[in-house]
Amino acid sequence: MNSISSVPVLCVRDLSVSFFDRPVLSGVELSVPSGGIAVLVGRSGSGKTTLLRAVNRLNEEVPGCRTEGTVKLHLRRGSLDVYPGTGPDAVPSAELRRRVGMVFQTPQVFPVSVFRNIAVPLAVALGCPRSELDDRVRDALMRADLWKEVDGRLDMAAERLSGGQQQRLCLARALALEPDVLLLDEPTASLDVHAARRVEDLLLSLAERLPVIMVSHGPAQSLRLASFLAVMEEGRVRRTVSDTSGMTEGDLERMIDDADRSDGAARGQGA
Amino acid sequence: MKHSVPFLCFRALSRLSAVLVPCLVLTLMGYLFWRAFPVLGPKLLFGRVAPLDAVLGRVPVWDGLWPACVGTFWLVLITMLLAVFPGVGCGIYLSELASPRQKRCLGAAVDMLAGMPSIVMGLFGFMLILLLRRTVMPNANTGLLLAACCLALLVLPVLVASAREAMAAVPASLRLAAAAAGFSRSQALFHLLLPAAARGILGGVVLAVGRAAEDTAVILFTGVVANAGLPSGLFGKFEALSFDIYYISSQYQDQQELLRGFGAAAFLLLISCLLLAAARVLERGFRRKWQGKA
Repeated sequence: MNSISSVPVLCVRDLSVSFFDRPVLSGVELSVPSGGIAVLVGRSGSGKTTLLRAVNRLNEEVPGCRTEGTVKLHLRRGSLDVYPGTGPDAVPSAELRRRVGMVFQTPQVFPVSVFRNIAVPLAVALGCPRSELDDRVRDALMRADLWKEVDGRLDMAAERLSGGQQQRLCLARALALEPDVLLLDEPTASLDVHAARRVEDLLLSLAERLPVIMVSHGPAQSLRLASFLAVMEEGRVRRTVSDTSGMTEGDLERMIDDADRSDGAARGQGA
Repeated sequence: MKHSVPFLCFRALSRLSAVLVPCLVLTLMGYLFWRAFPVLGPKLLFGRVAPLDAVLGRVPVWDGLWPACVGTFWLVLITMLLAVFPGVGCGIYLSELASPRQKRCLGAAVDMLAGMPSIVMGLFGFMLILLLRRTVMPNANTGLLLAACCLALLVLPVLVASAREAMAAVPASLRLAAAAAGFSRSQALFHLLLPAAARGILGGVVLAVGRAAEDTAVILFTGVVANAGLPSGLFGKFEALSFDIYYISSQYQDQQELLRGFGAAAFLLLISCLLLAAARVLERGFRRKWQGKA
């Protein structure tokens, strides 16, 4: 259903991440094809969020993190070496995170006005001139389908928006920086069904122009959105699915359970 | 639902404590203002001098509180000028940038400073002047600047602790979101974390102002006198409200003079309330500008 080109957008080789010597990911291998939405699924604690945060080096903001292996991004404006952070295509973390937008599980609006939520990162992180701010903020809000709701109230505190609006504001903030890829960590987990559907529709339309990698815990949502699925368990990617057409929720549940069981069996054999 | 006896006792005691505090505050303030009320007025401030002449410094005031008010104002202002930047800066450094080892060492130093009695700070200032007189500056004497320096030392730990706590109270998720939005660490600190912590930091500054305004022990050794008139300069002697209250209450000759002490105390309280209100207004304005309308 999506045009999948030969070069993967994300290439992960033998990635291991540990916090204070407690391994969370061990030997992850993953190639995410470009085009559409790639969804990481798995039980809680399987390492989905840590894998996602390895893509923009956000794990390093948490104390005690140690990362080994290779993570490479192939984006429309060239390739980026994420790990190891040395090499010809390596970039400083701040620049990497500007090019790799991220939205969190719970809406993380800054405690400032709606306008400044988008304008401050634009002005500070991107160095956008003051004269362009108004236009770019409006443009980002339109792309995140929030403009109609906040037009004329841009100086309102962002924390007064509803949960769904806050999440779309976070999306607008990420989009305003013109990222080359978007990471989403269960972006609808804290929203009600209606608000979640709205964000999902938005993601589907965004994915036509921008690679999107997201973590989801709901099988139904995963199947609605994914053009590529990676099933994780115990800090590894157990299975990937490049064609989700015809799959049912039951199939996906079974797949996650199988990953669970095979992992248990592997540990049984190892013992 | 039936509660156990210890729980009922605990609940009753905590209610009692909650009532006790406002009662004490009201009693204290009520008594103070009741005693001070008869003398409150321009005469308390300026004595027999015309207010305009006193304010402009054309005629010295000997029997009013005006010189003490001016002295306290300058004292607090210079103290805060000296202490706010290093205090808040140290607090931010401790919370954001210090290594665990630095945190331990610096934290211990700040705690030690916080535990030091104010009279020791005053003595320290006095000894410093003695040392200076014997060595490089034979003419050195106690005065406004020295008192402010010692007071700054006294309020420093308050500022450090409040700034450190305010920074630590900024949620980790905000730091993570700032990093994810492409902010470098110093950009996040300056543009998001500091404004988010501003309220706590400002609270610490107000506390420090209060502490500087009310402390008597430090200035006792470092330049305050009962009848200096308006402070003549940074190195001149000065009067202060807190010292006036102390002086009057220990040396009063008649009932009228004692009442003047009550007046001075009420005045000091009033000034503190004004400062608090000013800080509130400042904070609200800042919040509206920075965070958007509520």
